[in-house]
Amino acid sequence: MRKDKFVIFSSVVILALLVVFVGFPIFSTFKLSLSDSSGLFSLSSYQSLFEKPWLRKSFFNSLLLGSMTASISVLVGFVFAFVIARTRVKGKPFLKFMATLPIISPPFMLSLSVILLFGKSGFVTRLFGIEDFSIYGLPGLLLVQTISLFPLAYLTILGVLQGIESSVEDASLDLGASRLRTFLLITLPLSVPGILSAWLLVFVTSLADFATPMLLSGKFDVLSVQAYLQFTGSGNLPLGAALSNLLLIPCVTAYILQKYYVQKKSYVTVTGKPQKAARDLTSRPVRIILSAFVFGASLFTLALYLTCLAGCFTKSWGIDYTWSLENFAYVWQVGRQAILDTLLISIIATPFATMLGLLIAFLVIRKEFFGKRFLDVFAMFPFALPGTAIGIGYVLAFNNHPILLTGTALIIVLAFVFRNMPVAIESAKASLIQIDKSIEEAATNLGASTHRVFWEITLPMIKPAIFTGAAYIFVHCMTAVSAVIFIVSANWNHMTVLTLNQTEMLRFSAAAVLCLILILIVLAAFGILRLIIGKNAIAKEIVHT
Amino acid sequence: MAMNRIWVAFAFFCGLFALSGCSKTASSNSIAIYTSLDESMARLLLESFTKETGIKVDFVRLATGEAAARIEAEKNRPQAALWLGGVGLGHAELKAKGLTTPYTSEATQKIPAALKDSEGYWNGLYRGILVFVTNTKQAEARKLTVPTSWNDLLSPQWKGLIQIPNPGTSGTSYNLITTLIESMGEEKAFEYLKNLHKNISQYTKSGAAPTKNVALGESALAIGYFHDIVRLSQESKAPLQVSFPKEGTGYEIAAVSLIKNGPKPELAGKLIDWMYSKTASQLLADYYYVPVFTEGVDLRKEAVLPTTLKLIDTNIDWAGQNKERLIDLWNSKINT
Amino acid sequence: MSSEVRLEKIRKVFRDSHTGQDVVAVSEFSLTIRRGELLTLLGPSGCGKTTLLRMLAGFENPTGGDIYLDDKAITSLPPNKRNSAMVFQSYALFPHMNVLQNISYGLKFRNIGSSEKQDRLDQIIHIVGLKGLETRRPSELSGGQQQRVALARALVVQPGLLLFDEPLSNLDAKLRESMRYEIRRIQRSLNITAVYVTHDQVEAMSLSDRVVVMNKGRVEQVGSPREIYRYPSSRFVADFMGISNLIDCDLVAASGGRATLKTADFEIEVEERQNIRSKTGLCLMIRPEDIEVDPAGNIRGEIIETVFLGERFEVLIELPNRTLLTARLKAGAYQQDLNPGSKVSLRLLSERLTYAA
Repeated sequence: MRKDKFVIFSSVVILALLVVFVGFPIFSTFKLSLSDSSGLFSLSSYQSLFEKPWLRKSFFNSLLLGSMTASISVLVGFVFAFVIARTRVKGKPFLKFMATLPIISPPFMLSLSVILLFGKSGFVTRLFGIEDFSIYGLPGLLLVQTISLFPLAYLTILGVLQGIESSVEDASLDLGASRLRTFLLITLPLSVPGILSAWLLVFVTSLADFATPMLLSGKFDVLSVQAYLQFTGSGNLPLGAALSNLLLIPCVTAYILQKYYVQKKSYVTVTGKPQKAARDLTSRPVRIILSAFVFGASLFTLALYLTCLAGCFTKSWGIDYTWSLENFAYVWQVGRQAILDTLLISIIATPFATMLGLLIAFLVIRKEFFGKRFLDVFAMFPFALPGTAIGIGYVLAFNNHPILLTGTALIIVLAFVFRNMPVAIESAKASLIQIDKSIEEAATNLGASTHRVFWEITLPMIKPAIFTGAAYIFVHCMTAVSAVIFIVSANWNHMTVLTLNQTEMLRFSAAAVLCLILILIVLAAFGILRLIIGKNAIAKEIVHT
Repeated sequence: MAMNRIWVAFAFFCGLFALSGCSKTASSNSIAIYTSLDESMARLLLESFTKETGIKVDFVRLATGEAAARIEAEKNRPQAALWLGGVGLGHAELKAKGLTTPYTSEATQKIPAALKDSEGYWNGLYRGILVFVTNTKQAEARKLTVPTSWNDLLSPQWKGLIQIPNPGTSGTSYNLITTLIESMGEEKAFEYLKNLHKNISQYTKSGAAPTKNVALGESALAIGYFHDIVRLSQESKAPLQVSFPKEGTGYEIAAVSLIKNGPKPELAGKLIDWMYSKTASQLLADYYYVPVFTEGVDLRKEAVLPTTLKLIDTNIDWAGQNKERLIDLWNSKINT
Repeated sequence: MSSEVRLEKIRKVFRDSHTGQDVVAVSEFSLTIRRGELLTLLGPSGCGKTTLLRMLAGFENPTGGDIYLDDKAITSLPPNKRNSAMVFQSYALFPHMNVLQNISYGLKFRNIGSSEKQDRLDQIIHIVGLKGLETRRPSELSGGQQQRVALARALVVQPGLLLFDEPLSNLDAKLRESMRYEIRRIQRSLNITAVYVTHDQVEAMSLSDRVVVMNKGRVEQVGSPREIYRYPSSRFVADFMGISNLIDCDLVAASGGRATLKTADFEIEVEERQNIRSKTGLCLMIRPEDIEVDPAGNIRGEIIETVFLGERFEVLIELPNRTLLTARLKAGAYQQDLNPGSKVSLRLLSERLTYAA
């Protein structure tokens, strides 16, 4: 085969970039975890992990929280997906909106609202005079994580339910099965790969979650926070690194399971053909119960968002509930720079992440070259990593020559680019697979070089996927916290870190204002996206990302 | 053609990208600092400094531990010029790691020896005294008496109602441990902490949080710094009462250090000097602190300590050397 | 036991969600399907045949009318309570079950002892020819094999009514032919009442006992394949059956069971259609193979186009008054030059011709 210069050049460059900006930080973290405070080789950090009960405990706590959150989220997500895909319940647009809103919300928003309502001086707590109950710890964590993460489960399961050929359920009914038995014997078993996939996805995300436990963990120590505390609070960098590596293991394992095992078992064929509307499998009483559940959950979630909104306008939540706009003034004064910094960094990082991801997807799906499989896996790897690992890795890797980046905006931009690139890769891959290869082959046949084919033929055809991927990357950049908290500096701050600071200082109303600003920016980004590519394209794409 | 527009956009973004690698405070008359002072205090002070000297200050507020970690991470390319505030112990640790530079000037010469590093690596700003703060409303409702002794805290009436910071991350809390060790010896101190654990509802990440929680009614009792509590009590309408342990209590010295190889040390030096000026001292006093130099400064009457109060000194160097061991011990014995 | 099906004044109307208008999918009609009969619903897409089939299955509710299965009204019964089974166009095999599990699925919901279950399964697997494939998954089967599983699955529950929704449309031509034959054979041997939907008239002809030709929701004609082919009742039916020459004509004389029809270019005498009242605006239907070249023939025309198809020619002939005829002529049967531009004389096989209103 004729050597394609473009392919060789780009694959080599990309590989080099990945080695430096993905491999090197991870390597640095490992190296540090295997040394003691004077820099010599030592297994003491890992020894501590095994010996010290409180560290073991935080590991098990993380696993426990992750499993419980995943299980509950999958249940809630399944009910939502089922109601949307298989019943005649009214008000689906509202349900769909509420089921995806948490994905684009700022990381502390829900925790904040829960504290505002159910904390010791919370509105609801005071209202009902509830004593002896603390929202901190497992209950609060479960509540907030479930609400934050069930959308992941919902979207995954929805995709699977919509992919099940509707006539299969018809056939079951036709052969004499009742609706309930059809659900149990056909719908449910066919959904199992999707359910497993969703469970693993939520599990990994819960493990990596840093924002929620920072606010709500109370005495329930989790690994993500411990790693941070050891690294920054205690100054025990090797131990922090080791903890981060420990967190890596379940995350990467679950990711591998999900991607390479569960997905293979899918019964869904991606044909792109429009599906006939599926049969309503529910009887009226069942429908009423399910409706009550999903609407109840949605309204509760909505109430949390509204609480946050209310928090913006109170003088000092918990102490002084008078209406006031002073928090806006305060945030403008204190946070203006951080808001602009965050916007600037996110706006710079997004196109690079998108284009790189797109290029990689194109190379992997359409071309053959040496090291292709390796590139594919390597580029997707950051997806599996918890933000903490990336943050620590970047600090360690780039605070020394030859590549000295700490304290600059560039380090944050790079972290964002390589962390979020997988989103663009997934989105572009899914879109590319559905496009007939012969269109591009026709262009090549007529004389276009590879890079012209890429720019002039492929790119325009997958526009919706690109823009949706970009929107999600932008959101991830704006709402990142677990990676960012290690690499912000005197010169470049991030809104989420600022929100955390405000919350720690118990300036809840100010934190609420920051959350509000963040969510408005994110909604604006999606509004722009909708204008560019239209409503229906988004619905399809959201399932892929 | 669409291609050209894409190239232009691409170039633009590349430019931005490259720009992000540059430093922000390139302009000549500004510095960037890390501060562990209370945010609004820092804001007030630094704005006043800017007004007087025309030097702009960009600051990031970080807890003591975080600031130290950040400074260490950036050691090969420090982003901040100095570290303002934060527990003296933290500054001593940085000195030991070779991350700070000594600074002496006419102003610092006058600082009493007890309130600064002998070699000039850090200079003290004020003392923070550890005290108890109780939410009187909660106390009344639960029929609790305001504590006047360390032992009072061990009483079962306080079960689940006390908050203190996590000593692993908060200088305030570590200060508490060293004070107790100084007062009753290590073994007894840990026994005390173990018994105290039963009454603790939460070990907060930041040092100031327990106090604020008590103000909010989230907690009934906390241990915190006198000046913070007094100010909070005066400014908000929270029902707070301060009390002192009769056995005596410990204190911290908040300090300022010049970061080694930090940008614009001359401007940073100006800031350090200014911290001891009349203006700065008055600002600190207004905020219920007791600054190093009190001459000609109007102190808040509520901020004045009772003369009967016994202060327990801690050897900062000893505290620094034993920190890891003690925190470890605390984690294994108490935080399980 | 196979059932008799009675449709009484069955009707289906949809509301179009975009335009808000009512769309008549099936306009009112009645029909009785006899026991053991294979009835085909034939027509182009959108004619309502699938809607009708789904009403029989219970997947659509009729807007008006009733359906009776052996005199029992099943109009509002849900699909799982009817004694019918459907073979779906996409086969709808359960992907997570193997062949045996697919086929035996329906037996779960009927009170059948395990020995009888086994007997039925053995029998049906033998009948459709799937022996040895029991443990395979649907994804491991060819199109034809999947088809047979779908068929077996429906048959094994011994339904009173068997429904086919264009089951052969996903297969290639050769396979379609052999499967067609299989389906008919099995249906006959088990004597099951069946309703079959297709748009392929060759399929309809070869399978059915009776055919219902539908167009835009209306039933155009009901009859045996022979009747429909020989005596189409309307232009639409004729056209759909592939009768490509539809010539306007008038009835000029009728007596003794013979009718004389006059077209723009010729007159011809054919068998009289008793049920046609009008005398004008009629349509003479001439199949391409019912035209012959005959030097003695009284119809003269000029060849416009000739296509050589191997064993025959397809020839387009223009008559003096612009009438166009498509003729299918056997190759080698004529000395005549059949190239475009040649003049020909034609004779119509009048005993095979018919007309409609």
